[in-house]
Amino acid sequence: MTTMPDRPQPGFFADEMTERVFASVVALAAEVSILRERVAQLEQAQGIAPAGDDPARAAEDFVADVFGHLARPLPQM
Amino acid sequence: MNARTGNEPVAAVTLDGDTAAYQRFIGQMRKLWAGPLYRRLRDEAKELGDGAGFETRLQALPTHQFFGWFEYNLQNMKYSSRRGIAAAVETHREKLEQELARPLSQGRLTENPDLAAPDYYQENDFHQHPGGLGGDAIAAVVYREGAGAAAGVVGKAGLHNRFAKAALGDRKPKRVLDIGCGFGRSTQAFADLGPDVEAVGIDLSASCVRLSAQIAEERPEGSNTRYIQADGAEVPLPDGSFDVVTSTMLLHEMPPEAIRQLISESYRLLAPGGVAVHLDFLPPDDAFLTALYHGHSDRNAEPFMHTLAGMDLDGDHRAAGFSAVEISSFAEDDAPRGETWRLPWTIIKAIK
Repeated sequence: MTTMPDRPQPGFFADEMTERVFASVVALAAEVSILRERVAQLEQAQGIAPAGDDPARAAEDFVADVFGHLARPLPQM
Repeated sequence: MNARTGNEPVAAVTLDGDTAAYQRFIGQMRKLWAGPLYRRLRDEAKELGDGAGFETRLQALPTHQFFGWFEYNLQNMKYSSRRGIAAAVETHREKLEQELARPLSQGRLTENPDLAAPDYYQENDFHQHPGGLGGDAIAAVVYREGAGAAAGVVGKAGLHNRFAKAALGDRKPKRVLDIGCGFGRSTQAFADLGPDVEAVGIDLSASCVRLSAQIAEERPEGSNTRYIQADGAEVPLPDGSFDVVTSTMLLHEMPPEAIRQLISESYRLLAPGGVAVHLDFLPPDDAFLTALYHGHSDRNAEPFMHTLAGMDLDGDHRAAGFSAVEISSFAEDDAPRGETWRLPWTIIKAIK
């Protein structure tokens, strides 16, 4: 069985450092997204924020804010 | 019939808050990947021109590098990270094993502990499912939860019912065999075609047929389904005993020789005039989409997508004895085409 831990991790970027940095950025963003949900729940529990905010919508906005630029063409130099 | 309370599904898994938030994040990242990032890549690919070396030029694009990174790593994170589906299901193991072992109605489930799984099945963790579906008692629950999590494809609402209706049109089968039934959603979709239908789901995975049987046991509409642990290449059922033999997302998990065995076995199992119909993925006639198809094969631990694409499925069906063979694209939903990355769904249909 070639399971995930055994299989060589494929590389996608032209250099290893970019690979590592981008993995770190995404992992960090995932943690921030989790913490944002925790904060939103606490604020709702304390009556600071309106109840019923959609966490999926909040995650969508967060991802678009942080990573959306990847999908836009690079400015011409 | 098992006694259950409320509307909790069989072998239910409740994600803790952080895991649910993590999976939501992955799901939104996948939407970015399949939508805006895909469209940017598509537009850049148009500038590359056709001809030799297209795939190499495509892979050199920075956007393609991000696209590939997202495709591989988001699936990996969804299943195998600290807050992945596998870890979340593992925390429920004791409860799940008990629920999957509950008594069932007579004939609902036939297990075969002596079944020898083929090598190809044991040697790969398909679609990055950690450990595959074969050995672990709760693997089917991981599969089901993974299918529904983080914008997964398999869990897409209505896919199986849509395929069952598209596959058979006005035909009203009474006996359906679903090979590689997974957690039984495809089997149930064919069983739902009419009150007289009897559907049998088979799978190599004991965990899958157990979960399928337990789900069927709980639902009134599951009364006309039963499940057998078996290999589609050698089904322990009589000749001519089905009107329809089907599979959903199975062929691309099998090497060509195993597919040819399945085709021959389907012919044996069908009554005269019966239909073999499979839903799977074949590359469209488009260099860019074909490159993404093969890239998906590499990036998602689907090695046999490559070989499936090279097969003569029409010829293989005819060689097994089938008369009419039809291969056509399948619309899994009503979304406009071309604006999001999608698997190239294809129906392969043959008449005995």
